[in-house]
Amino acid sequence: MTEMNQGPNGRSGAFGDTVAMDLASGRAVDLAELYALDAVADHERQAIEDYISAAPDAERLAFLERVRQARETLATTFRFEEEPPADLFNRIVAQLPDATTQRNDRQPNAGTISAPPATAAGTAGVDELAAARQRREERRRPGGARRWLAGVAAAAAIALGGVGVGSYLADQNDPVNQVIRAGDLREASVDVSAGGTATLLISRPKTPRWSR
Amino acid sequence: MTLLEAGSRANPTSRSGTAKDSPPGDLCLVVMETPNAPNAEASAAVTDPPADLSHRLALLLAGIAQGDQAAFAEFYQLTSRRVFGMARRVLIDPELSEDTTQEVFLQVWQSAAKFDPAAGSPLSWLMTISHRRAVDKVRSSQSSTDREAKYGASTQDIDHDTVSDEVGSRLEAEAVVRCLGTLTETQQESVRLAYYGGLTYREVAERLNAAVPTIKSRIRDGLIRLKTCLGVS
Repeated sequence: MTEMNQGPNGRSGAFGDTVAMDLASGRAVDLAELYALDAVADHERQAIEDYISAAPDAERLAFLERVRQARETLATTFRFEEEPPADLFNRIVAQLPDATTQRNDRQPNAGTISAPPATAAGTAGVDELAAARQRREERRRPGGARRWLAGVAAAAAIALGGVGVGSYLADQNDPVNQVIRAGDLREASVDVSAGGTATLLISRPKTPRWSR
Repeated sequence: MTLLEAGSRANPTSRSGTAKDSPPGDLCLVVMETPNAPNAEASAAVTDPPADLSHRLALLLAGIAQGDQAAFAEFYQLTSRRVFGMARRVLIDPELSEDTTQEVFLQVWQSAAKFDPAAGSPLSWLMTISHRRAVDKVRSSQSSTDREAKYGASTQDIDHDTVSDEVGSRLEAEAVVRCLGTLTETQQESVRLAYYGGLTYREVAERLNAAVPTIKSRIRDGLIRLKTCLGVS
């Protein structure tokens, strides 16, 4: 496989020695992958962000799209996993600002540039989420601390169930997957009085040990 | 028999119905969806785990944005192995990796409202925050020489571990292996040095004794090839 490098004197698209040179020669969009990979120095990151936030729409949107795709690519490609120490979650929770106090905005978000103007689809998605949040908010008024503990317990149960990013729906021996993959899978839905719908996925077990 | 109530935040005693035609002894998985998520979507997600996971993580982020700590706990359970694993790869040091993971999830708690589904998947958003944090920390705490040495010592099996630790979504993992194979060795090396070594393109060039513009091209072309091969759209 041949390499696709262009030296400084190659065809257009070739990089210069510095980010400043690339920006000056109109190659900002070609820096999207380096930017997404955090492979630039801090002052270069700043220079790129300054340039892009002032760039014409077409250039800015092209850059942001390339950054988005590069980040999805990286998240898909590099997926090393390691179990954090068991007490780490509690240490994090101990540092959370009190949930009942107003949470003021916020530390700068890593690696974001002012978002492009919302597209019609994007706006619809946001509105939908906002509506969902509102409904959720209305449902969960009472019982803060108790609910918190219940949530931790539920999360622990999920962890014991072996559901994680890495093993998600993967293990054929997992009873959940046995149900999901079963040939005789049936689905039934029931309404839940607290609101919402529970979907039941039902399968007859192949061995007696799963029956009561 | 109920094996798991995934994502249910309703009071269990409020469950009012059972499947009518389910004889005793059948296996039963309960999937709780929020009212605005149609059932058609839930059943489609069963055959499409990554989309299902993205959907779930997005809902959890919406909850976290409202201060829902149960959502935060579940989000942590689903993603902390990825965040900590990446931090360990970049930082090596366990304590620094724990600090970074802690900072990442505090930032998730504080910034969940900024997650924009139109701008990328939840996992991509999270790993972007995580990588940036890890890189900031490694650059402030270790010289690039140290990083290169540690990186060299830690990456002998990197070809292997980018895939073998991923039990899940085997097809996707196979695609990653196949697609990494479409990159030249020097492209792979440059991208990995930057991602796991926390090196800038200039540091990668120094380490590989290559011209700076060449390294920039390798990283750009390598990632674009990967993206194309993986079908990232």
